[in-house]
Amino acid sequence: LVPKAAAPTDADLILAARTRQDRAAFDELVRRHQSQVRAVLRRLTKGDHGLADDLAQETFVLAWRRLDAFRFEARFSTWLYRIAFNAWQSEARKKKELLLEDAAVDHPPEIATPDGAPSSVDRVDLERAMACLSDGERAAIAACYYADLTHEEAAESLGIPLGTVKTLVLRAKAKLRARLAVKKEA
Amino acid sequence: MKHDHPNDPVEKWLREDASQGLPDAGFTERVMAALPPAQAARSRAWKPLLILGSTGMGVLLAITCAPAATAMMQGVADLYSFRGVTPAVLGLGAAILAAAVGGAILAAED
Repeated sequence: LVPKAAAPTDADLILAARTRQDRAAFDELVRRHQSQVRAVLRRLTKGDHGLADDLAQETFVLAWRRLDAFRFEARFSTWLYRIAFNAWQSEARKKKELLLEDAAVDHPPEIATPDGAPSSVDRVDLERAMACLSDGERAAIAACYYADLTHEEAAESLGIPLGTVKTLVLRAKAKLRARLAVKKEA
Repeated sequence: MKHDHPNDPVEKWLREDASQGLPDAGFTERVMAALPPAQAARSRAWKPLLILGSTGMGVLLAITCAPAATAMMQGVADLYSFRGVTPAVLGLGAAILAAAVGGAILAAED
């Protein structure tokens, strides 16, 4: 029996892509990370799947161009999310002023949280509830849950203070709990 | 991230939603088709070397092949002793100009 060759790591693929311009290696990197990057952007763009995929494509094209700048100090996925957040912020600024640090962020969440939250929700309900969050709250949730970043990594990627990220996450979760509980009761 | 409240239903919904993968559905092919051609990236890396290399070769040739009266070192000596615009000074000036043009092209490329 011939032993199966181990799958190349992200680091192997990155080195191949940037030293030999190996497109097959970059193709594999895109396949590995497309799902999470697109999911994060779908949440950021309030469920606009077309825009999210355009921004995801822009993210990967920029990553290919800037691959030499990747220093292996963070996970490749963390670096990709940083590019994705920047792409989303640039797009959002074209349309309106993006507000990641809300004025009321210093105050604790004061949203009523009904008892007896439903045990499950469907994806569409969650997507609609997420769309009702502020830009900052949505970005914090996307970073911490969909991109699986720590609060510190999320703060760095979004360019906002750590305390603000924590407050935004708490407030977003309180809003989601309230909105989805009401939805279930209706 | 580490979740503060693993039993919190909102955390559970978010984790479940985040764990559902999106099918590729041709996305990777679209990205690969949108990438700039590899040839362009390679030639971009070689361009500074080509410009600097050819400029350096030109200067070297000028130094080694020029007649004795127009040699570069003679030009430096002429300039140092204020002998005016001798052929050697002109040769030296041409070499400096070639190097400056090479540098300007590189700067314009960036």
